[in-house]
Amino acid sequence: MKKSDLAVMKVAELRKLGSQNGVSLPAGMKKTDIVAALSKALRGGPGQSADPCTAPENPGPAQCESFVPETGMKQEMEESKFHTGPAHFEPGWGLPTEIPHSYEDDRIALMVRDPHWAYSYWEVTQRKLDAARAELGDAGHAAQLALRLYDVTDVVFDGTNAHRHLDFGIYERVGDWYMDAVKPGRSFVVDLGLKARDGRFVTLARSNAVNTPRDGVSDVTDEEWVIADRDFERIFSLSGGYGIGLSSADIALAAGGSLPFGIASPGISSLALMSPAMKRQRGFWYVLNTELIVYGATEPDAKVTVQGRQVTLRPDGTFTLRFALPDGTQDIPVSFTSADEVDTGWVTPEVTRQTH
Amino acid sequence: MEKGYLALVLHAHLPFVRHPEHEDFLEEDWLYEAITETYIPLINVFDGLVGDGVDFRITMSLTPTLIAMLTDPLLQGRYIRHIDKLVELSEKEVERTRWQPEFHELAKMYRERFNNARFVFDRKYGRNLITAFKKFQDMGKLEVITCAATHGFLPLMEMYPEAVRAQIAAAVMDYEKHLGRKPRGIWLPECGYYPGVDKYLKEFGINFFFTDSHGILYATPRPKHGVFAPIYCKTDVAAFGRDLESSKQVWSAAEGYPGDFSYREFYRDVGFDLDYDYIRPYLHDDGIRTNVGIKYFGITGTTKHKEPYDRAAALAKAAEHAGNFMFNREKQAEYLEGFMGRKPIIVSPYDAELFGHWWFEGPEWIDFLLRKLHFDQDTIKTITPSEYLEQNPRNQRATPSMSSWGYKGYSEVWLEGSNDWIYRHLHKAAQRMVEMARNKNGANGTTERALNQAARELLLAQSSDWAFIMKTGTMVQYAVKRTKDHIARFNALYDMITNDRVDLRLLEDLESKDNLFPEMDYRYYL
Repeated sequence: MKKSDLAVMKVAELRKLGSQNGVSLPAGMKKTDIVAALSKALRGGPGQSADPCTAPENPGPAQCESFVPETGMKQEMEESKFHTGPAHFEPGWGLPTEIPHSYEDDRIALMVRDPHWAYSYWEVTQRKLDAARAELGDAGHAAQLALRLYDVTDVVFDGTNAHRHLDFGIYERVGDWYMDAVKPGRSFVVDLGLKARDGRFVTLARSNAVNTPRDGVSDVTDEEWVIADRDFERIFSLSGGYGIGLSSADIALAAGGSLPFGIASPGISSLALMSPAMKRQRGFWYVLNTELIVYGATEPDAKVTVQGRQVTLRPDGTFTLRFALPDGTQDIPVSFTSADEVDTGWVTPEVTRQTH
Repeated sequence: MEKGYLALVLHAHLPFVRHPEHEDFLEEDWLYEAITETYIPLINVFDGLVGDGVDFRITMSLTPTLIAMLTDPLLQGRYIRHIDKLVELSEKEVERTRWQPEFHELAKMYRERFNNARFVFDRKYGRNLITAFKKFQDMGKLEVITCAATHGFLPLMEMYPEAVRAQIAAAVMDYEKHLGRKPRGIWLPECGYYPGVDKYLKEFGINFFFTDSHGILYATPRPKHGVFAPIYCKTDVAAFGRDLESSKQVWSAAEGYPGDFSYREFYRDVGFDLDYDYIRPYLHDDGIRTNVGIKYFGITGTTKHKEPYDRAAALAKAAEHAGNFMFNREKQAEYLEGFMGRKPIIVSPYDAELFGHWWFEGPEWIDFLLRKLHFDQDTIKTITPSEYLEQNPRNQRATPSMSSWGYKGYSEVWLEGSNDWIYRHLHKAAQRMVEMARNKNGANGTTERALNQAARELLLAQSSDWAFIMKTGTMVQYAVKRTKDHIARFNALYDMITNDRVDLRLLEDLESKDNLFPEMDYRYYL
């Protein structure tokens, strides 16, 4: 995404874009910094967040993104299951059936995306919102919608006993948000609420609890299955924990793994189209082929051979043959023989193609 | 005496795509291509091995949606129509390429393949390929495991445990119907595991599942044997972790076998390469160029320039790669056994559709590999997870970490800007399904039918394929439409059921279109 496009967006929109794409934008960032961070992160395309190659909080082998196996080809192959050609205008089966924008619920849900990110969606009815504003009295009309994320690890949450909480201002009655304030291996709940300027917070809805996964090796060891740290590091490495594993004898493969991608092209006309241009290849691509059509007619019950092979005639006695024509000369002896085998005729065109 | 074991796992899956309302539907091609290029070639490999007395073990998951399509008479008939056209085209191609020997031999190869596919599909297995897989399972060579009913990504359903349970229940019921026994193992969709999901696996008698490597490596407590032995969850269900090294040899864009220059190029298809008027009859009614299934070029190199595919060279390379894979596993097993003091199990899972469809020579690679393993060495043996557990019942107890084998290892692929909007609707529908199941429990007649159909619509909406396609941008409109259609159909049924006003015509229409799991029981949501 271009910086100029980002610069004209409102801060709220930029933050939403950041949250959708997993880009961390701490509160208090200046707009110019937000634009810079987003344009850098989005250069790789949507949905790509920063490299989580950070040292884990817990002792143990450091986790690097390379630990997750080479995904480029796996994802491309999985996409190929659904690849029947370039994306094109799909024939209309009628208008897509519409589904409701919201369900008029007072509800918030929390979902884990990975050890460092959670996602929440919510909706609140106008009625509930009005009631909450009324509850805040004079401070009500300026109060803002907010999310309050609670760390409730190992706690039976009663609304007041979280370890800590973090508030985010939000802007929509029906909306969603990505949060990177979650830490690995902990539990969280999020409230949708109305926050007054004086700090009071009225809860409109409370989410389910979620547990974020660890992002590293457990520091809990089992007495019965004990293993020395050094040995565990070895088995961890052999298991591919560092993304390398035990390297066997070298494979003499050329490093030629970059396969061309299918293209997403706009609507395709019925004109003959060459192979889809490769999306990520550079350079100007073209191909030229020549074919020869050989066609003729005789009596429907006659026998025709071309280069010694018999040809099936149409009921009306005509035939058409089509050959790819490479460089070189083709001798094309054609014989016609009457059904009673009394008459025979030969025609032998000689066709040459030479590419200069 | 072997030093270790290799568990090859092929995960075969396609989402349920069936459009009786259209005579000709592009996305149904996914199934026909997979049948021609993956499932039949694999079945042929297994038949060949059995015929030659080669002992082997391999594990395959067949998802319920795939099974539903492979056993559906409408789609079976449409496949015959599809393969007949390919046979016809291949005949024309043999003629057309008479003056181009390098392509002519390939055209004859395709003609033979397509004729064989038709024969195997129609005559040998009576149009039902599931009977082939069942045959190999009954022989003890293949272990067929199940998968969630519609390949729903379970970690993102965690807040509705009834929905998770129903995905498992429907799958197990369907498996038993087609394979004649209960499944012993499951392939969690995308290896999407969260602590607690194993409770539902246990309930239905499932003994094991698979996770990505970090699911095991980050387990609590830490796993003594890394991914080279299974661990037992608190429920006693076993978790097997993927071996990254053997994975990399196949998946790696830089180093993996499928990228070798001798192999066939996926993206040069005659549907695009040949003259439009000539190929038009083999495209869909809309006349838009698509993959047809005949490809004449090899990968050749990193540039756009492609040379004609040399089949003999490609097969030689596949044999070489099989030998290489085997050699690496032998070394791996030897080293690990010495280090662990126990025979390791090396788990190598792959999408089945990699073999034959994406990597044309894949099935032959498997064939070479299994033969070499049988004849040329004694260090490793192929094994199924069930056999391994029988022989090695004592394993460490640990809770795997939430994880998946999708990009970045967690849930991001299915929860990001392009597809996060669906969860509000999927969750609401799940909530409503549970509510209806409770309120209308004991209903019969059309209400019961409507409840069961609502369950089918919910399951279909939950297919993780839609979110995946939205993220990768291949056929997004279709994926969005499927999600919206099934949610809208579910909502319509919900309205009818809660207002006691079931419209029989609408119900019958939906039952005829979204007809998988005929024995679906809404009570799974109780």
